[in-house]
Amino acid sequence: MAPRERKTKNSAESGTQTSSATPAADASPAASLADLLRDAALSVVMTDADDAEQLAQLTTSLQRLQTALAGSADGERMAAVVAALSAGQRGAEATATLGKASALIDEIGIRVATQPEASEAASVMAAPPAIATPLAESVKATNAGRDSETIELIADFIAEASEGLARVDETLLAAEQNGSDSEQVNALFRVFHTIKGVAGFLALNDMIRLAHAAETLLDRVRKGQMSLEGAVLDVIFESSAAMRGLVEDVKVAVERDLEFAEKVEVTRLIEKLELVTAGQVVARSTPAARTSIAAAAAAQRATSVRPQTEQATPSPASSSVPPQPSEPAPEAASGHTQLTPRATGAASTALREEPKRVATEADAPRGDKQHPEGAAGARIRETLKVDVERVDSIVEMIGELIIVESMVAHAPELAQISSSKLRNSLSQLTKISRDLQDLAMRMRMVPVRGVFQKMARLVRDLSRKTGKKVDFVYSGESTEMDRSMVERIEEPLVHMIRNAMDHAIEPPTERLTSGKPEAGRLRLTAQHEGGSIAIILSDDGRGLRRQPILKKARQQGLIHDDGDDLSDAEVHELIFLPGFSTAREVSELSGRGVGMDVVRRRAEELRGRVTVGSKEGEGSEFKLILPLTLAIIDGMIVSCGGENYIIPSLSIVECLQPTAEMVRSPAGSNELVNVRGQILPMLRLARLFDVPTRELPPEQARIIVLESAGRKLGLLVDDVLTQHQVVIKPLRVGMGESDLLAGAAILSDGRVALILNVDRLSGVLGSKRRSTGDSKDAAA
Amino acid sequence: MSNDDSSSDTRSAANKYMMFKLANEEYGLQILKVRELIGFMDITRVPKAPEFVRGVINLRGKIIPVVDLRLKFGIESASTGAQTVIIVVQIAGPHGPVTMGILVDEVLEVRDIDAKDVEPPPNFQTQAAADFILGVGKAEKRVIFLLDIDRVLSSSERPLVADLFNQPSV
Repeated sequence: MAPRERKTKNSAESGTQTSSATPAADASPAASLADLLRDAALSVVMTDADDAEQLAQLTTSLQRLQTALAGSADGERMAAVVAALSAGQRGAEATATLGKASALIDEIGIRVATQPEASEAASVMAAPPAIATPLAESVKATNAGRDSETIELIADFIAEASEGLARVDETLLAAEQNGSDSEQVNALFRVFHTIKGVAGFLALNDMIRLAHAAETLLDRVRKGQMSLEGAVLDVIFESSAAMRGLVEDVKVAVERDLEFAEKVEVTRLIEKLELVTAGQVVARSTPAARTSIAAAAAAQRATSVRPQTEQATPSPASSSVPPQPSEPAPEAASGHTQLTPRATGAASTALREEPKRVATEADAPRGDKQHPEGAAGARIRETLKVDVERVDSIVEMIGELIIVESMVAHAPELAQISSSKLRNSLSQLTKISRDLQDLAMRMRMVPVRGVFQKMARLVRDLSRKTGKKVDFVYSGESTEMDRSMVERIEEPLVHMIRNAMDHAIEPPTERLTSGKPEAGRLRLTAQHEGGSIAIILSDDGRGLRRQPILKKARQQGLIHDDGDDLSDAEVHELIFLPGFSTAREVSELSGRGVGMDVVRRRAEELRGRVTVGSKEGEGSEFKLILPLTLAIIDGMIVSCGGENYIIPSLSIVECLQPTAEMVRSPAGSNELVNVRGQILPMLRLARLFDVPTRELPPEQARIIVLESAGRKLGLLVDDVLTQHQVVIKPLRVGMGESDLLAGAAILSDGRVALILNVDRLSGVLGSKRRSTGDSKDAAA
Repeated sequence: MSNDDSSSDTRSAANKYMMFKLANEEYGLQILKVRELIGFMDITRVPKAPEFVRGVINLRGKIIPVVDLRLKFGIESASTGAQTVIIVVQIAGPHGPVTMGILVDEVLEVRDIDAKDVEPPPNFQTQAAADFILGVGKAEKRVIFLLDIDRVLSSSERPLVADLFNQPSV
């Protein structure tokens, strides 16, 4: 398993709190900081960059925040913002500073919002064992010493495994009745494979061994060496039942904070699996016997859940035992229900009762390790599956609420009423609405951990395949993103990691010759950057090599000369071009670039982008910059002939006020703009959208430099108004809307503004030549 | 046709029509399709959309398109006045119900029109035109064109009424 860099913070606070109730809101310093942050965020949004008085007020509010943050890196950054504002900035300059302030506040806000949870969960750690009393619930004892992250991992695992095992049973039953196809066998294989993988992370040895044995058997079935019937089917059934018992045990062990126990009958089952795999026929059990196995597993589950269960019948642990009366099953059911939702309480009550049970083979070893008194483990956080549509409509409605709330709160009619009561109620309303919005947004957020773990597995596999040694390190895996985004970053990450493994990391001998450690270093990080999330993959491999890339680009007709005048950054950009290379060609070349155009495309689909930094011989760093969610973007609101449009901030490189001589219009070409020597194609928003307006001369307008599908261009607009977070709503399809629009959003005044689809803009320019070619030719 | 209260109770909602005015003609729209009426508000123009789409509005957080029926019917657009109303309708779209607004000159009243007072559409020049006129209703001495609003709005072609009244197309 990859080393995890991030240590659980706040372990000092451990032992203080157990219940999952949130800490009292106003008492903690974090809460008051949250208030300050919210106030500051609000005033940033409301401040007019040209209004000296408002700016002064904002500065005061930010200073308060700065004081609260004093001593931290955040505090220093805030101090810089305050200093900039105090220096008397106005207009565009101040707008930029406001943007910075807003991003900084967001960033701190997110950190503050996630912290209380961490400390809460961390409280499971390191408290001294205590005697169980009714009050003992307030003190956590730990034997196994799992930290909050591990517990979270385990909870995820339990959910995933249970789902998988349910599928296994379903598939097996179907296979038994109608015979199996390869699809089904693959599905079965995958379930055990997944369980094995995650169990590996968690060091759940029984599960690993059992899953491995089942997997081996299924692999033979998959290869057509055996068929899924008779003894094979039976033993897989049995494994699934036993596995479910093990999953349940893990849950219990975590909740009571016990070590994971080893089980004798698992070993027996594994032996049986091995026998079957080896092709030795094991006496086929009747379906009835199989039921008893399931019952046995269930009963065993019941025992492990409720040790005091009066279980007179020793569990039949193998199929040789004749079917038992149906007694154990209802017990299992009752034991199960008792444990599920409010686990800790029930379990600890149960434990205080005198254990009177008949030791079965199954729970004997467990009994030895149990601490009948004072065992109070972590609570496995219960989750609820909710229809995504419902969540979305809640999020949408809250979005509406926020808009209406802000319309009411800023109604000029209300401003005339000088009632402090009204003012208080209004600010209360504002606060609650914002909290609600935060909550709603976080409903869709999940940590990137799952994907990172998959990548760890991928690296391990690739490392074995390529024979390259790699230290894979990941961090920031608790960073949360919108659920749908987490799913969709997987593909680009796989491409990036494959690239790194195939091409960047050198074989051990080559590394040693070039004075590098034998094992390559691959590092995957997720972190917040302003209002976005950055996922960074860095390696210490060969780096991007200029000459091979240029050679390849020439062969593919992407550049027309030797490319000597291209900067390194421009050369690196070449690898993102579609058609730069196919896998086969690149391996010959030993460069990089497999599927990097796919990576860029996926990033852009997610309204993000990908950048690369590399030094030949030293390594590369690829950075995926993505918005926090798909539903909300940070947008720059620009005006053009009285109409407002929103440009996603992620696509904006810079905004500038052009001079007349910067804009050129050579015959037979697009208009061009010269940005500090870089010649970019230029579009006028007014012309693009047929805005009925008188065109401003460029020197009275603004140019926004955008990155569109990997290509920089300038967009001429009348003015840049403000920066805002907006909720993206789709424009209804079928009304002939242009693909130059990505959607619409409702501004704080209730009006609708359209969102520009920046990626499509470069298409307007025609795609005969790529950006590097363009600027070079134009400059020449 | 009588329009007294006692009989209107027994009439089904299907016979109720919302009357509105467009240029010099009166039209009727099945009341079942109507969600609400809103006064004229700021409409955000959608570039490159068909001419008859005036743009989009914010209907309590939902963004809905607004179709200018005048433009849809090929009548010259009028300046909006105090009487201008957006009728919010729900029509059957290819992927489920769709809410949109239609901009009309003036809303008159809601009125029952019995099936017996509805004549089949006259022989229009084109099938398309015949398709979206359910029939011609008569109430007192007025002639009311009853619209099949689903068809009016789901056809995204050129203005329709040009065909309907055999006027030169714009």
